[in-house]
Amino acid sequence: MKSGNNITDISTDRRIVQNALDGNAELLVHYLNNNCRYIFNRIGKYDLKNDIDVNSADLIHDIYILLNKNDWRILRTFNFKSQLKTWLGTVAYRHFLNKYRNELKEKGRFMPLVNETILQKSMLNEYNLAHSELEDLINKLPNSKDRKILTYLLKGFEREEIAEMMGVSIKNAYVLIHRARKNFKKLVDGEK
Amino acid sequence: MEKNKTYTICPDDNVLAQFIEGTLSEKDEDLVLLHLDHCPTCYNIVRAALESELEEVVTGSEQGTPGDESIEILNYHAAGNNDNGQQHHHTNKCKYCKKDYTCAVKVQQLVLAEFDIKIPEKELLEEARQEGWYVEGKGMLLEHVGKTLNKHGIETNRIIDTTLQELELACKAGSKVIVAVDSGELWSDSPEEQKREEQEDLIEEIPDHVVLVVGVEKEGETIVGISIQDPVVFEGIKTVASDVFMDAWQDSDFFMLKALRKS
Repeated sequence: MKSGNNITDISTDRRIVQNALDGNAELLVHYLNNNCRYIFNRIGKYDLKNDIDVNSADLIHDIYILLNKNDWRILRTFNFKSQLKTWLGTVAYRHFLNKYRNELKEKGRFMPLVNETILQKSMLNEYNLAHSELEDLINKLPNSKDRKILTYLLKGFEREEIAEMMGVSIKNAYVLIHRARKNFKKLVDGEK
Repeated sequence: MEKNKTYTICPDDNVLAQFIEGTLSEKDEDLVLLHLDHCPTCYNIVRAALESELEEVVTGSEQGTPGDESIEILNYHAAGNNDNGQQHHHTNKCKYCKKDYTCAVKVQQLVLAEFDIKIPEKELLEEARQEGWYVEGKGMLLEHVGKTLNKHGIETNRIIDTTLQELELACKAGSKVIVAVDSGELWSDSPEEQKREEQEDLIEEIPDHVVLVVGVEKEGETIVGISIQDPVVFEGIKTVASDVFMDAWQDSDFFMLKALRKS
């Protein structure tokens, strides 16, 4: 998978974490700055900047302090079963949601705003995929739920119908559809 | 993962990260989904992570491997800037807006007029340009829609995941309601165009246009039509079937901006 500076494979993740635990956090800082900016940009979409007076650099610093606390207690919990940046994302979002929960609730902004950048990006023109090509690609996805979701979408089912057929709530259908799309895009990028 | 674990407490971040990547077993995935149903914190974490990961994937697919340039752009955004003319997507997909993509300015001008604030479009456009909300040939980001109203003393409220019923209530309460839609889905009438819109939606939903909702039409208790003003496409008011409207509106995750009152 492509990423900020191609530091994504598990051996690199191990190297970054191990270096930090050994007292050299330079790689981790570089990684946070170059590979995880999008996470902090996303957190900015909660409107923290306007309401709580923090910026992206503050957020990165904040998460570094969190990881570093008590001799890297939290960083040590990373089990390398996912990519480091995905895990860092969940840690960061949880931290900021907990930290700013009251402020966000008071301002009615517990939910993030619409992510325009994603929503306005169409892949179809870029890849110009025929129906059969879409089906072939969908069948290559490793996750069965991703395959099911995209097949339903291809057949024209709505989110509510997909939720019912998958036996999940509508809000979970939203999550699963997003994940399926994300994995599909990764797959298509890989096929290019 | 332990058998029969039901996640009455939040799953470990490692588990959530695996869920986000889609690498958990089906059974463990189901357990996480059960938890997400009743834990807004974890739900928001997963949702934000998926949306931002998707954003990152999109950036990668556009630029190949992003190098210093994309880092600079990210830094640029981190510094609070909103216009680099490259990475930042605007409402510039809308074929109805022709080349100027001024729907957001025009619609806000309509709303201002409703509050007896009459300002020529040219002036509002220039103001939006100077503030960095509008970019020539690219349009206005959804996050900037409403700022023109705020600048002229109109209080607004931005909401997503709204429903037709909430839309009806907002109209009844006298709020002026701007919604973001996929213009193609809203206004396309040929079967070929509709088919193309369906295919586009399969891959990504694109809210490329904003319109003003002025009311709803009902048959009994059922909302069957939405009355819309779209100064870019036509003069006056048109009513669109609710299912067509929902399809077009869904692309913005049912984004609604309510202009409430003069502050």
